[in-house]
Amino acid sequence: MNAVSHSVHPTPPGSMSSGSPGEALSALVDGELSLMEWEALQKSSLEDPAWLSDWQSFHLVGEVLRGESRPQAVSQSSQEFLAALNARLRAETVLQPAVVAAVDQGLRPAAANEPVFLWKMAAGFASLVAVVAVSWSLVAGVDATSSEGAQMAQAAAPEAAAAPATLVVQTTQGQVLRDARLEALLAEHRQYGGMSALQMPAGFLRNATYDAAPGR
Amino acid sequence: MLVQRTLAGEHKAFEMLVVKYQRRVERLIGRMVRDSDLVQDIAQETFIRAYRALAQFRGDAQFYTWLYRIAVNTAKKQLMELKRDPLVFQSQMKSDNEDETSASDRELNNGAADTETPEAVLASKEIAEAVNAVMDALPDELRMAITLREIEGLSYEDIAQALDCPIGTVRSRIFRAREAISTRIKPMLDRQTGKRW
Repeated sequence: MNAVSHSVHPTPPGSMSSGSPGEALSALVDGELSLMEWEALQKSSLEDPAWLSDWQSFHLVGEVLRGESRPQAVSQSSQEFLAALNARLRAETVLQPAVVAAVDQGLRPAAANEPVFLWKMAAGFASLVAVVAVSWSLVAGVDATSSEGAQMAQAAAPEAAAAPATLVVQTTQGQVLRDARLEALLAEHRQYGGMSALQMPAGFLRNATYDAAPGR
Repeated sequence: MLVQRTLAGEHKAFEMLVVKYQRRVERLIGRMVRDSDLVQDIAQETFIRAYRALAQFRGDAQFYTWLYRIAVNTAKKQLMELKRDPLVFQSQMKSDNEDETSASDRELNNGAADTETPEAVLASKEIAEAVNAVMDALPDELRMAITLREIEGLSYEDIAQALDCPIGTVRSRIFRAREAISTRIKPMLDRQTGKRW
């Protein structure tokens, strides 16, 4: 208690330097430190490991006063904890550039499936050749078919041109005018006319039927 | 402030965050994991993850809330890995019923003493009594200043208005009160360090 009494002995205002590192640390605990003061604090005292215990105990005082927690010790001193943590962080930082450099220099070990890569490339190339060959033959076939069709169309054209444009046809509903080519088409497919091809009522279907003239 | 300084590349600021929250993080993890070495490993992993992810901390929440989430997830991941070895898992885990919520509740309720050793409970009691004794011995102006700050949560400006004194005086009084209490409890903390709670 003597030490405490000594510490808490009323100090005349102004006897303690307002810019003391301890006071700045205390202000930092409360979030009341300016950036300029922070920079000064860093330069002046944070290099000294002693700040750790002050920082820790200042926070603990607040926690105890607020009744937030039991004032218990940490499992490891903050200094040791920080040292171990920094070592791990350094190891990560050092390791990452080392890995990158190894990759850059081509030192990366071969992947387990790399020996089969050539086979995969060969198989892919063969597939590509096959696709090109099939595509080529299909394109050539289409060209030939289309040219035949064009020839047939050209051959049929004179007959169509020679046929009369319309015919007068006698039906049950009276005489109607029909296109001669339609008449010829319906005559060719007469077996499908007269009823629904479905053999059942299908009101939703529109059928093209052919009723020949009674004489035909 | 410390988060911003850490993001600005000042490693000392990160160290201050670590020291500030080390006890709370270890206490939190200690409620989920039995082995003190494992608690320490998980606490370190928590801070490493926090360091990596610090750029993602948006500042919407309190820093400890964010850190708490990382600590719980890290502990859970560690326990899941241990689960592959059921014997180890059973020996490391505190309780099958322990979950994040109950751990959080206990954290907020000052931590139940069910997992603390009698020595740790006694040491904690001694520290609390010492803090109270020093507070009683403090001059009124120091006691008022630190009470308004730590218990009432007032800013320096508000305290200055309440006590009708300059902000610099408030800052000085709070520091002197802290220093007095700190001087008294530091030897106790040094004795406790390294002991299992």
